[in-house]
Amino acid sequence: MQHTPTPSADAPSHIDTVRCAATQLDLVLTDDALQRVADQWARLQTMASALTQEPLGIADEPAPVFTP
Amino acid sequence: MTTSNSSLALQVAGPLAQAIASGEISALEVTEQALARIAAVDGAINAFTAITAQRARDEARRIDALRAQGAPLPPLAGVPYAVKNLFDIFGLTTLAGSKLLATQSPATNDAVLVQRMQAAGAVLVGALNMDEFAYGFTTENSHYGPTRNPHDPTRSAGGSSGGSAAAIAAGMVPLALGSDTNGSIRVPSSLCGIFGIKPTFGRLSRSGSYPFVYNLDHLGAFARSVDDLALCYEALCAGEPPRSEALLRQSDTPLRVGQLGGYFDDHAGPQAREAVGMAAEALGARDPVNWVGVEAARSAAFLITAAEGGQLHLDHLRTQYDLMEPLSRDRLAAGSMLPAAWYAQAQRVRARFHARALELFSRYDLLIAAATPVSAQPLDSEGFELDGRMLPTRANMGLLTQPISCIGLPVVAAPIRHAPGAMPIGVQLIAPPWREDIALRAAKILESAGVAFATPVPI
Repeated sequence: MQHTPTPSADAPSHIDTVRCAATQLDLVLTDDALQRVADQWARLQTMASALTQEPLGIADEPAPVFTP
Repeated sequence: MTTSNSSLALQVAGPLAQAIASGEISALEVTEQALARIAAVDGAINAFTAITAQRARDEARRIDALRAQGAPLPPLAGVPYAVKNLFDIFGLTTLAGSKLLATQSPATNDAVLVQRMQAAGAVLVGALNMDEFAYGFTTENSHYGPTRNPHDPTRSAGGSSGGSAAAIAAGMVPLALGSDTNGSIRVPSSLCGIFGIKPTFGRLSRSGSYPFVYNLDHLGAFARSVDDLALCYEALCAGEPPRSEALLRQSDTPLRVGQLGGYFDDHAGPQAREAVGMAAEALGARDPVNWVGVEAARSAAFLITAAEGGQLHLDHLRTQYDLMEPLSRDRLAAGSMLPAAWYAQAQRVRARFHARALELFSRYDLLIAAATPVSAQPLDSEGFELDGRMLPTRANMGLLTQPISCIGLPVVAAPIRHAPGAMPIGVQLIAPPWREDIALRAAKILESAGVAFATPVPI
């Protein structure tokens, strides 16, 4: 059985990113919580990479106030 | 209709309202039966977090007094219902599934949709369990306990409106309200085997409900029949769209139906594929439809949710991290750190995907996809298997619903008849913006053909 690939949250860059952001946001995290949040942050990074499947041009505006 | 007391709570709303209007039974008797059913059943399900017995009896007595005066009764007169506990209920604290909010002051007014249900004569019997702050697909709430699936109490009812769906499936109420940001009406509808409607984004007022993601939050309803769903939706709209009879009226022109393939087929398990096939055949789906950009749209929904949810709860994360739901607080914290560039990109992807949807709807009236990749999973399940891959349950039960709510399309979730002993699963009937009537009509076709089917679970 295969497992879905998950980016390694052990990478120092993820922990460092989360620690830095937590400091900026006045968010106090224990070491355990920091690791868990880094795991989640890595998942968000995977999602963000999927956005690039949709090539955008300069005419592609965001949906600021959404009205379908 | 049969009005034996033991079966009253299991009835659907429409005939119940007619029986009350004709004097066959009083609203108070119906209310007492619903309260008794909840008392007898909910210990095994844990759908309710509060019972509003006194209010329910007062509302029922008002209906009975109206009838005694010979006054015309509103369409849902005397019909019991309950709401997800993120709706404000006068005199109750709005929990939104959280322990943090339990010490807040009680609501000083009803949510707008609760006001509309009251105006339609419905009788509020309680508030329903949910994932904390609506961030989850399983209603495994560490503070208030998990809501159990009436079809198999060892399994999840789905979420985040799990209490709403379970209360309907267990026959405790015929109608319930919930919310759907990424699938929180459609997922529990599918897993509990009932009908649910997530209207077009912006259709229904969110005033008086606890928010999660301002760009994605929808409110909607659950029922055990399409007629009831249309009746409830009509009441929630307060007369803006056509009446329920018109909503369900079949047209001479057949619907142009497309069965979504690609991403939606790749992420559906065997039972989900079979359900979609049955619905597609009954609705005369013409072609498999490949909707380009779905995976990016799902990612956009995921990122927008994380960023807005994280920002909304930043003060909670700063000051009361230990009191927050362990199953979602780390996701909220990570979301609060999301780079602005990702958020902006997600909003641009979303707009692009919406444009593609409008182009698709120039060729189709309705699109069909499974509502969940698999049926209900055991409580505490960390993952489920899909085509040989293990996917985390809590993040992925909504992977077929997220791309749709990302662009606010109206959807009816319809439970597809399943083999005896199998767990239920549902399909999404996806209509163009503001065309809830098309999704309801399609659900009615499936129900009339015996393809879609919901019945209360005998407990």
